[in-house]
Amino acid sequence: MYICPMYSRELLKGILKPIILKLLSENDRMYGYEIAQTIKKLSDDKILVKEGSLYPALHTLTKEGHLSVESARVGNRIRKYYSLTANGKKQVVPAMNELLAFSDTLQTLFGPKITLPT
Amino acid sequence: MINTQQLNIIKGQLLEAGVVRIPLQDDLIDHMGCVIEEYLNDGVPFDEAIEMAKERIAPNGFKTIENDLNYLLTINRNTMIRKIVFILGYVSVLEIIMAIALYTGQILDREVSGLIAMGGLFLFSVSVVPYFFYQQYRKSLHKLQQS
Repeated sequence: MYICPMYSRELLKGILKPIILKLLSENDRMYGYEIAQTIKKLSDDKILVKEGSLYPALHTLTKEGHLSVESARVGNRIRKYYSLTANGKKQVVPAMNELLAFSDTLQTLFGPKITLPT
Repeated sequence: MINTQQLNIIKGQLLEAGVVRIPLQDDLIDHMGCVIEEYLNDGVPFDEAIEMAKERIAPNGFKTIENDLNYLLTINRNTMIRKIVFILGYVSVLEIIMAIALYTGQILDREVSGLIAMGGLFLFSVSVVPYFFYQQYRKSLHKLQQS
């Protein structure tokens, strides 16, 4: 699903939705390509989201009522802008807190250098 | 900006791949358009750009993206249906076994145990049997589409 030069797919599985929620909380509305490019840029090319993961995630979040979609004609094609619904806005802080707590736990587990007794 | 003819080529490729969800089609057409424009700006000709964009966006094919989406959108509902069918199947088999056991042990008479067994058979035939055949139909349809 993901092509990622630094992190394995297994590590990144499950964090795409919180990333999307966070990005949309900082931007009024974004379209798919813009979201993928922004993640790439903000992560210094460490996270490259594949479209095969991005659109299923966006559509699922829409179905769950966290995102709303607005279509606009750009040149000769239709562009769909995603934005947070009121329900989606409520999800941002818990999703971020959960990820940060998880990150702290990982830090506790892997932070100090482990030396095995001789 | 890609022109209408080039856009129609992209649309054609998505349709040919079997993408039928219109909202997903719109997303992928726009995304393909953006990526192709990136390549066109770098001086890559359109024919090459579309192939490069396909490789970048959907290396396993566009249909895979739609299949993943369908799976995610229906997984909860399908799990619930499966649970209900399995519970109904269990209850119906239990009813039939109980009816036979109680009749054999002469706790229930023939009429009552017969009614319970019939109830079990009815439940089985309206829950498990249709679900089983529906699953077989879907499997055969999937095989047909793959061939």
